[in-house]
Formats: sequence, structure tokens, C-alpha cells
Amino acid sequence: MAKAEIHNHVRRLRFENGEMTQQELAEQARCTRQTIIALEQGKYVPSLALAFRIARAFGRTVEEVFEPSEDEGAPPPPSGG
Amino acid sequence: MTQARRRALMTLVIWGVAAVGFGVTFFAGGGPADYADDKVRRAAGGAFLALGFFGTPFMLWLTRGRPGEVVADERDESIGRRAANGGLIAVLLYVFALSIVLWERHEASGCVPVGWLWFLPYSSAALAYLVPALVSLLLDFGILGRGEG
Repeated sequence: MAKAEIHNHVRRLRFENGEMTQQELAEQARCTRQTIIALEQGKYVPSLALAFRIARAFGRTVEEVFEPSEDEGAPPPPSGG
Repeated sequence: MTQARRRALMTLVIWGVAAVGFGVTFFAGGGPADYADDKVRRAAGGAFLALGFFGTPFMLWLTRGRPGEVVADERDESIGRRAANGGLIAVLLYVFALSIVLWERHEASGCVPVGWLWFLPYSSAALAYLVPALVSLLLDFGILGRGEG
């Protein structure tokens, strides 16, 4: 099965949060700086637990930080009545 | 640099020196045929292997994390698992291939120089350290795919 392609806005959100450094984000999310680097380069898709910790570090929801690529298929829109 | 990356690099250096040194002492002079009887070469080979076997725990102690420090996260653990799998497969293939080569080369004479029975286990041990370290670095730098798995 192909790996999920998940885009993230970690780099943008770091700069929107007072130019938070990768090390500061790593410490808040309890991971290593190399993992943040890999995330920003799109070379790593985090576990759900780490995704939540990163989102909390920015004060955002997971969906605001991570989103599936178009070919992964966005969730279907709710069917209108 | 993460602890995992630092340890993988240091493992490559330690076991690279140990493996090359052991290989040179094994194949130098009379080669495998009289390795078992050559005490000087056996001692030299043993010294290189000792560097690997004793150097590894020393390196692990040297690179231990400080209390409270995040030394490894889920990505490091995932890479470690994939590297260990790669190492296991590599060692199995190596033992299989070397055994077959020895069979092919010595089938006619009906006997294999006993030195090979020294070389096979210790070279396998060196490979078991080298391959996971190399694979983890390739995964860590994204050369061999992504870290998750």
C-alpha cells in the first residue's frame, strides 16, 4: 500500500508564531529537531500523537497543520438535504 | 545531531576499522589456509575485533543522553526498526552466499580450511553492526526512502 501523502504547514506556522525555531518546536512536541526538519521537507509523516502535539504547540487543530494531498482524497463534503 | 545519527556514524567508524583490520589480517600472508596456525595473525585479528566488541558499549556510554533530554523519538525508532530488519536480511544473505561459495570452491577437495569457520561468524558479527548503521543513516538522510514505516 502506498504511503499517505500528507502536506503540512509547519514551516509557515513557525514563522507566524514569533519565528519559533525548529528546536523550540521540537522541545514542545517532544521530538528531535531532525524530525521537524524532515517534516518541513515533506520527508516524514508523523504519527497521530506527534501530529496532535505539534498542532497544540501552535495552538491550532491538527487539520490546520496537516492536510492530505489532493490525490489522497479529501474527505467527502457532507451531503446536503 | 541526534543521538541515533551520532551512534550510527560512530558504529560505522568503529566497525569499519574493525572489519577492514580483521579482513586484512585474515587474507594477508598465507590467507585462510594457514590462518588457524598463525598465532600472530590471529592475535592481530582478535585485537581488531576487540576494538569493535569493546568499542561499541563504550561508544553507547559516551553518547548517552542527559536526564530529561529527548534523545530519540518515533522517527528514530521507526528508522531503527527498519535498519535492524535490513541488517538481519543482509547477514542471512551473506552467510548463505559465503557458505555456497565455500562449497563450490572446495567441493572437489572435500575439505574447507578451518580458518573460514573463524572468518564466517566474526565477519557476520561485523556485518550485523555495519549494515543497520549504514541503513539507518541512509533512511535518516532520506536517501533510502522516508523515515516512517
